Amino acid sequence: MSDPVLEVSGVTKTFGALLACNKIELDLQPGEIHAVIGPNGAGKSTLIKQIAGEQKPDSGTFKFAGHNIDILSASQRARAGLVRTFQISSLAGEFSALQNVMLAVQGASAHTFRFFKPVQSDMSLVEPAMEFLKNAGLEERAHTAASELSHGERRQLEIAIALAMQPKAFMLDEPMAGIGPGGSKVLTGILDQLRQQAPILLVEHDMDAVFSLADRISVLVQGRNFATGTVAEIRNNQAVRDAYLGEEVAS
Amino acid sequence: MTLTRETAINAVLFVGLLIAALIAYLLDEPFIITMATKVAIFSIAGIGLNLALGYGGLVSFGHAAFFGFGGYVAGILANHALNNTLVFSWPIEMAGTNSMLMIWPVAIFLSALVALLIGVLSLRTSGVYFIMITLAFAQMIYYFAISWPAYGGEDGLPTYIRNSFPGLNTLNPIEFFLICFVWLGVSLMLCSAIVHSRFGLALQGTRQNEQRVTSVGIDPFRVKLVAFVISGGITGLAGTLYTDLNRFVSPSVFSWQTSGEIMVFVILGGVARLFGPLAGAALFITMEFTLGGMTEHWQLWLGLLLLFVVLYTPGGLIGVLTSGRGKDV
Amino acid sequence: MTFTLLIEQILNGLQFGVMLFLMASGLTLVFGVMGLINLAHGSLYMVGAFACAAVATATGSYWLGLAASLVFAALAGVLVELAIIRKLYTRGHLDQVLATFALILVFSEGTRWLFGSFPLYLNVPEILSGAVVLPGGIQYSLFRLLIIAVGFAIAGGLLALIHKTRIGIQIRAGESDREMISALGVDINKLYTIVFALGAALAGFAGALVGSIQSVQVGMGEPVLILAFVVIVIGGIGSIKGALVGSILVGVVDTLGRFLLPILFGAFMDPSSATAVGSALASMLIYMVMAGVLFFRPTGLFGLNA
Repeated sequence: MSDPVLEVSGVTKTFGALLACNKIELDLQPGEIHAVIGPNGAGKSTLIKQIAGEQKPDSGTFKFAGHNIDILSASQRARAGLVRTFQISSLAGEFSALQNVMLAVQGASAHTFRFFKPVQSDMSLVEPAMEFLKNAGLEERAHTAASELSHGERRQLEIAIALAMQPKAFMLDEPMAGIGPGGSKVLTGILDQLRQQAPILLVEHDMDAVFSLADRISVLVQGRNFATGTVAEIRNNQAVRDAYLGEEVAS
Repeated sequence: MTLTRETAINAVLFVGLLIAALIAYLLDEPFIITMATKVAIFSIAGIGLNLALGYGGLVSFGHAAFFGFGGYVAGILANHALNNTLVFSWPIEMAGTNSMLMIWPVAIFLSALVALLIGVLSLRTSGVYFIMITLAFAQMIYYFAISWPAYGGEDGLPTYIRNSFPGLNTLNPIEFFLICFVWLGVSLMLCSAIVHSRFGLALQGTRQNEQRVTSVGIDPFRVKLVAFVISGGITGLAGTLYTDLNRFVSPSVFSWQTSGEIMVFVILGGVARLFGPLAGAALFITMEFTLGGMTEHWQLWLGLLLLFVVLYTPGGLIGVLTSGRGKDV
Repeated sequence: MTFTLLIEQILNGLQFGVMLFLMASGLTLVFGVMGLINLAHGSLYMVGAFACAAVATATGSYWLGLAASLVFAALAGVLVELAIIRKLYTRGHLDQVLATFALILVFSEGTRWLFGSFPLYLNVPEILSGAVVLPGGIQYSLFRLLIIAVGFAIAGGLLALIHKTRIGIQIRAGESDREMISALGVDINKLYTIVFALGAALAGFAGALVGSIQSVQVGMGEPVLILAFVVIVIGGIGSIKGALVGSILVGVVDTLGRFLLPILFGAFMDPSSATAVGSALASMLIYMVMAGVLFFRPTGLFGLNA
């Protein structure tokens, strides 16, 4: 294996008496989709938040693109190319779809503290943003307020924003949540495209999607990394089946 | 920019203020000119607050701190110039001055610096904590101004004459009005530029969704802090002009009522609307004048009107005139 | 500085603190339960003081005046809650601030209309005035001592109400989860009105007591309101215990600061500048305490989501 893009070592996080993450070890290799699955409360979301820098682990370290990122703030990690999406769409609702993507292009460019040039005519923002929207199939909705987009469109917009960040790694927190089967198929296609851009750490409940897309799977149970392996290994791991998968995927 | 109804109303408000002052000049009504000057000054204070409150969602109830700081800078520098004494002698000697061109940058800088200090502490919190903390810090400065005797303490500090501007007689009401009017125009242009800039995009994004802004690599704390500092600087400038208008400054500029009134200008006119503070200040001053002429208890009616505006007319005066929608973003 | 004087100042600080608690507890409950920031809380304080003064003057009975302060402030609270405040629960903080700011204007100007601008003075009955001798030979005002006792009694009662009674459980449930308390079958509108009236009555009572020591005048409520805000920021929003600790802290620190700082500076300055510097710094002291608390605990000492 080559050097991992993202390395999680010994990450522990407690909330009072609750042990949310227990010495988690995990890595993300170039080009792969690494799915993290597990029952509710297994610590998946907490793990994502810690990698993104929104929460601080009690102990453990994160390495991203060969560098220790423990001291970086959430915004600094995002700017470094560690880009996440949210379980529940998190957009600037009053902004148009275009403005949402422009904000991402601006964030990635690290030139926010400019006070005079109007953004509407700033082609270094508008043009790439439009391009990302086009790729996400949202070109015609560019000037619609984000709050007025459909659920599926908002999901697509989040992907466009993530791409606009010029990511070196994606963290997708349940991208399939709340989308019907049709939308789910579209997103599955999009995820397959995303991996061309950067490897993906995928937290997902939709087992069909996970088993068809992922290269490797980690199973989190009660804050512990229970098992990591290829799809086939996980599918055939008796302990995993007992602990989590049940009979659902046995066939 | 297309000529929307709001743009038209903005133009009428802006030009209307100038025309009102000029007509008053022709009719030799200095009192009306002074009222117009007050409108211009309060509008500038409101424009400063609007940047933080309207566009950044930072409900500051402490902008009196910056308004008052600007006011005292003008008062203190002028007072030292008048008495021919030094403001301080260490590490360098700093003499007082009567020149507006000197006073303005000092006042803007110091008000912005105070905003930086208050902002660093209070922006660690949000929501209702932020409201209470900004109010508390302004109150702290208010009590300090009252109990610090060097510059008049509770009695305030008279400057006797207006500070000077090259080529103008600032004691002539219309000439002083024009100075304030030009500053109003500059503040409006500055605010418009900021709102539409990259920084403005980040600021308004932060108001709507901090998580989103963070996840695209922008630090919302820095964005809010910079907005708060600019906001404080603009409001501080308004304070210096207010001292010059009255030729006097007293601790009441730091009072919570001042913060409340600046906020009223913004909300009365319409939050996050570029010309909202102008509309609000104009309405407020006109009402103070007309209601004040009818009854001693005009504040009672002002209060009732404000209640009506809050409960039934979201969008403020400009919102009503443009029938609601179409925020200038 | 004598030891006696110091004890006296500490007692003054306690008395100031418990009065602040009466204000802050209502504010913090109203914010905690209804999510409302109420600037007009100081007006209810003023209403209580004026009600006490008016009734005491009319009937000649201070006791009736005190009762009136509770009743009228609670009534004013209920009235305002039903007519205006109720519409604000679902609004943003900005609307709440502006609407309750407008209420201050209405209350202050209305009171000025009724009672004029001159301060009124209350005569505390013979039996409450005078001084008592405390252990150690310290003479201290009986009335102030009673205020401290009453304040702590109310604080105890309020804590018991919140933690032991049925309505207290509902109030605490309202703080953490609004849907749950509707699910419990509680009439939420009624609960809100009760909480608001309770806060108003406490504020009004505090106004009457403080008005008895100082004077009763328009605008007396707002400085206290802002101090109550400082208390809440220190104690943590929604916490009665935080309000109590914050109030005592602010009361004692402020009073002792005004007393001790000029003396402290007097040790190495000439008397007049020591007084100037000392009292100027003393006036800022509690805000510095607030800034310090904020720096280490942005949600206050007993804040819910600290």
